[in-house]
Amino acid sequence: MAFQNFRNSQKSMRRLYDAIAYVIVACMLVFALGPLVWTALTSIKPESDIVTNEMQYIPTHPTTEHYVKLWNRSGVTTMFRNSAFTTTLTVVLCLLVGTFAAYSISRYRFRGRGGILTFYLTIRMFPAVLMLLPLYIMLRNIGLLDSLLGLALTYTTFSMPVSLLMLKGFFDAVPADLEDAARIDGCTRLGALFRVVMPLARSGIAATAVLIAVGAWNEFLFALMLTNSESSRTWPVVLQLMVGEFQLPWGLIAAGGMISIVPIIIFFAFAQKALVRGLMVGAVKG
Amino acid sequence: MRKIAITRRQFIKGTALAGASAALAACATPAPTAAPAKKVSGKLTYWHHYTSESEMAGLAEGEKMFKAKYPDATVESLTVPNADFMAKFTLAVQGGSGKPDTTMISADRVPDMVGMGGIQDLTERLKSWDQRKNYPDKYFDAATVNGKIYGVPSFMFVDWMYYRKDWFDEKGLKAPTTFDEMFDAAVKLTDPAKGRFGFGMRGGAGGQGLVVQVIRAFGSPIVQDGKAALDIAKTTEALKWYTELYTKAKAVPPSVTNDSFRQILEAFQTGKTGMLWHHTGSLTDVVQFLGKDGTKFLSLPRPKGPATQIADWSPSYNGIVDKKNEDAGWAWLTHWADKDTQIMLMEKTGYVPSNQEAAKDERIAKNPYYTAAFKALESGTIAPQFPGQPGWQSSVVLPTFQRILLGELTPAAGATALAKGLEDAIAGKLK
Repeated sequence: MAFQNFRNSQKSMRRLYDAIAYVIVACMLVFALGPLVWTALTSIKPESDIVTNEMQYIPTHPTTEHYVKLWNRSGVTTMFRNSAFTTTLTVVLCLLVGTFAAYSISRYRFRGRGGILTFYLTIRMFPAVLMLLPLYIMLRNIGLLDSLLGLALTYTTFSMPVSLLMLKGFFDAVPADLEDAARIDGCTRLGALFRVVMPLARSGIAATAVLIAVGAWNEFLFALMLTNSESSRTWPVVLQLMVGEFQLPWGLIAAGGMISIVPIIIFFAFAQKALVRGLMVGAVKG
Repeated sequence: MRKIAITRRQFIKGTALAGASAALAACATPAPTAAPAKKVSGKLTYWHHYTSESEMAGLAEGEKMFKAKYPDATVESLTVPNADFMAKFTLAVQGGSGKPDTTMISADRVPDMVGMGGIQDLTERLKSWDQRKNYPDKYFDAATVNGKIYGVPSFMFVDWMYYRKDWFDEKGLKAPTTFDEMFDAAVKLTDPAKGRFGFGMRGGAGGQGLVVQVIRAFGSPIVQDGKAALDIAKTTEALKWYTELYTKAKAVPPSVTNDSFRQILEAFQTGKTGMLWHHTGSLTDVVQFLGKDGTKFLSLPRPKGPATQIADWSPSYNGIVDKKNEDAGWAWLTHWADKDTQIMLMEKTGYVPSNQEAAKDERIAKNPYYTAAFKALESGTIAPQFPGQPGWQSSVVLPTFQRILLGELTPAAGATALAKGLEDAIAGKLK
């Protein structure tokens, strides 16, 4: 009987702890998803539901007018395309250069190895605005001012240090013995990198790619300062330009915000698969 | 037939003379002409900080009108957000490339833009410009540096007020023309049961400019001969009158110290407040919610203070940046200074024309909103500028005003703090 009572009290305690845990998780979810849900709701509210005397939480007449209006604005599709292009190019450049550089620093012992890493990191220590004038002049001199390639190169410069540091960390975690075994089996150094190290570090490479993509997709300062024509501007500039001095079209801004997170969600969905797959491959081989 | 013999020496002399003449002709720059170039062709670039839908519609229409005048010209305009404008402009000027041919210029930026050699002197062109007679000299004051003029006004922001005509009619009140009438109306319009407040006071960001205007309306100078000249007694009276709208009459929403432009505008749009001080730039936004038939709201020049009526205006200029395309640039500037272009812009955005001919046009004269703006423009002036002003207003005037609203300071103590802060600001000692 006493044992039964003990079991019952243990069960009810567990239920209480579960309930508390659910409440905490629910609070965290509300905190994390609240702004997103609010933005999504605002984007489908008519203007009369947005600016009201009393708060209107649920739209009375849901509408897609803000999305249509936004998409019909001149140049918006071009800017969206420009953002997709610069982001993709930045990710490719960063991963291409970063992978080789990080692998070299991780595997080779040479003079100035530590110095190179420090040098790369110092780039991040300066506020971006300080780099604007030299970057502007350099891009002008090589004819890449006001071009998407110039913008992607600039993003690469600023994303490289962090991606290098991250990738080096992931490569360090791959046991060198596996590579040695591959080389004994006849692999070249590059072959070992592509066939052994990169599959094992796939999760890290995917995480780095997500980080670079998010940074490049949302970047505003360089996108505004280093472009001089509508044809080479990117999506974050469109979003910023919606904020007028004396007018603030909340619905349009919310619709723009929703559109801008879609590519990131899609990209993350793909990267997440790679993250999981990379972990599993690593586990089996390890 | 007689042979013409030219010696080698004569040939060299002749060639040298012809070369020198050609070189001189090439070097001589023609005097700038005031009349817009008859044939303007090619690409013309223009930087501006229009962002809203109505502004962009006005710009697009203006470009279409320009194209009709100059079919061979193509305008490529670029929006640069106001907050980032100077950074981008400086970069283009100092970077030596990517400069626009023409640009929009805010009045307060003229000295900096001239200082970096970013905009061209238009004095000579303006002397013989046929539209010059429609522009009073004072309109060019803010665009003048060392006696040279660098901009042509394209429109004006004029301080005025909005009031809820339907509320005033309900209470049997007449539109206020003095501070006393306004205070009285604010009290009578306030009805907490209905969630109504008489006046939407800007006690948050940006409210400092209005406080200074009230002080001036009570007769206190701010700066005289480069020295701080705040009259403590008049400033105390001004602060007392203005803050008592909230502290004593409770005719202002209790969120006042957090209310910046968006909050006061939305409160007026959604029927929380009955009066609002702003400038003509917000007309389109107010019309969007309250209609333009004049039944719900109307606009008025700011009421007269005990000493004077203060209605500041601020011109927006256009200027030429790149000398290479100067004639086309001048055609663009004069196009935006033209009466018809400015009326079109006013209809799209509510921005008041700077061309005085526009005021006589029936599209303006018959519209009650627009006539109020022109009345305000007649009596108004450009806000006084002095070194240290932005710092004094944002770090002394606004916090002091907020402390009085919150009951932490008396108006008299606030006036003393403003005077002390002003002296420090002018002396460059403001912390």
